[in-house]
Amino acid sequence: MTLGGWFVMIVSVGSVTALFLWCLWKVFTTPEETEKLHGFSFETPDEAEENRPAAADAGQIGSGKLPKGAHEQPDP
Amino acid sequence: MAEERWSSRLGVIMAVAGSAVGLGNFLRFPGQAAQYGGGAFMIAYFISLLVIGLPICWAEWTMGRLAGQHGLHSSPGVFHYFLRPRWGKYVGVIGVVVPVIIYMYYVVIESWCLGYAVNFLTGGLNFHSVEAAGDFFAAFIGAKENGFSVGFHLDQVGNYLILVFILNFILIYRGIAKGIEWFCNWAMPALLVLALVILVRVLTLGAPDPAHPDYNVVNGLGFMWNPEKVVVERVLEGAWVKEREVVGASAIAAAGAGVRADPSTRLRTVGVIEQLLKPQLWLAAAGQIFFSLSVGFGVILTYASYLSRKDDVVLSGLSATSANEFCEVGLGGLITLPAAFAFLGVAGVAGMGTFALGFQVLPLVFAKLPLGWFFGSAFFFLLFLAAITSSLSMLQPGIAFLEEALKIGRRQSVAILGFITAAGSAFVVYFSKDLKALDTLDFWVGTFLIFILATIQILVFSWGFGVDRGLAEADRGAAFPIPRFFAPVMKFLCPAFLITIFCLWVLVNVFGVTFGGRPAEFSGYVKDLFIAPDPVAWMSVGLVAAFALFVALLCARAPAYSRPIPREELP
Repeated sequence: MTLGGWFVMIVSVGSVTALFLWCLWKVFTTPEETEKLHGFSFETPDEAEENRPAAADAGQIGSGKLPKGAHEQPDP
Repeated sequence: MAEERWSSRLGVIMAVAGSAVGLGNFLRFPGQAAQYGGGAFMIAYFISLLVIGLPICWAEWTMGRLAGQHGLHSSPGVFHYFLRPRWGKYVGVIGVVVPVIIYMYYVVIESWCLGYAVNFLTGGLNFHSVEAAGDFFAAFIGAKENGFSVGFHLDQVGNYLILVFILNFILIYRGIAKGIEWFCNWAMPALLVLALVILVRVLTLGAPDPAHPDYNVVNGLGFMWNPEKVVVERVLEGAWVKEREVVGASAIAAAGAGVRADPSTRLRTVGVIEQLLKPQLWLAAAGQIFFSLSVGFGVILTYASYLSRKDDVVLSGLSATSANEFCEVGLGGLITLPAAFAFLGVAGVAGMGTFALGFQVLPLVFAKLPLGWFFGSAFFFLLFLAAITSSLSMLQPGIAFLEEALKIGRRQSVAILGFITAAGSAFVVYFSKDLKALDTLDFWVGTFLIFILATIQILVFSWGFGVDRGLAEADRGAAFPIPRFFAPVMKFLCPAFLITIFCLWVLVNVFGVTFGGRPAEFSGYVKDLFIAPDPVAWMSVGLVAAFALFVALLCARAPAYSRPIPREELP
């Protein structure tokens, strides 16, 4: 491994590790961030609606409407 | 109380990381880095991450969230909202095609992971030679003949594929939130710890084969990270043609002696710039960034469309990106590629196919660990769980599209999508010879189409919607604003970068244009279609085209994508 190789590796691995740690720090220190941070693992509104028999009976599924409170209306 | 807050914050981070990390990090990335020669690929990869990956990731989160406020949750819906003319929805067809087609082969690889986890437990993967590991893998996936993997023994992929497919659809049908929460809280940290254990073992492997002292981990790291390459070239028909790459001081010295004895060969150092002049390398590097970050997939568009404007898309996107990069570069890349080099050498590493490298190399690493059968089984099982969370997220864009386009419920959408993806996965698993179907789909969809969609997205965001409005929209609810130097990056650099790579790739790999007097180099994937047509490659592309046509027809008939956007709701 050449000197250039060591340099590129240390800078690359170091920078992605530092970025990951910075994100952790940011999430841990920002108030209410747990409510606002999302991946792809939450229950989607159509899934929540499907799991509620009453809503299904009312024929709301697939209408593009979301269950009350699933997400909010646009800010004015 | 404080402890509770910490655990909930850690849980959120793990949820983001758990849904982001998948097979792309631990299996696809090392395969791509190996295929495109290591060092130069890594430089192109990091430039792509900064210039296109992160900016488009933020653009996609923002576009999805804004369109979602107006009840549109699928890629055709999002593009209908932003582009408005009647053809806008057809641009979004790619955002449905990409995740569904990738799902078709992704579950096949998931089933390989599950199969390897089981075979480690039964002692079937205790290999001590590269040949034995390669033979098992080839037989397991049916690489020697089409249809050979469709068997139902423990060492064939059939059982596992059916199990994985059913599991995916049960989870998506019955609701996934609880299962994924468990995975994120327990399996994800376990996977990270186990990957660190394996990393330590790989870095202390030394030279596992005494007959080849040059096949060692330090040279493996050199293959991956050295910016300059040393190659042996041979003169053929008046032109110098690369014969092989050499890595490591003693290998270079031996190659130098060989060159002095044979005047038709020479040893040459290939600089970074020369390596970076290959458009195929840039396309692959950008494609890998997009694949890992799920950018240009349609997945972020759909999930972001369920968020409220108070949610933080900036830190969500950056956290998912950083978790991906940490796992990909810091763990996946440092484990698989150096280990592969240590066992196979430079020649063996390059020709293994995108996803195959890890399956052939990691069993050899585990064979050198105490309780290797346990660690091997645990690693592949955790990888299987990580893959499940990713594959489930790939189904949601298709489900949201069918719900919107056909006005049907989620369960009906899941049933239709189940039928389509089952047919596609059966195609991939049957045409297993040389993994032709899987590799063809992975390139044309997992790299090419993703690249196209990502390019369209950044153009729509920066030029159609307006980069300043877009950044202001992204900043709503964010823990920190997107730094404003990203405005010119998003508006000028990123689209120019993507369009240049694409045009050069087409010129060089499709039309055979050459630069600097070098012989024409057509992409293997282009060769399979036009120069030496391969029936399986053509059928794979036909599968993509047929599905795209199906989605486009549904788009054409869907009232949701025909209604004009009211003036007060215009973006």
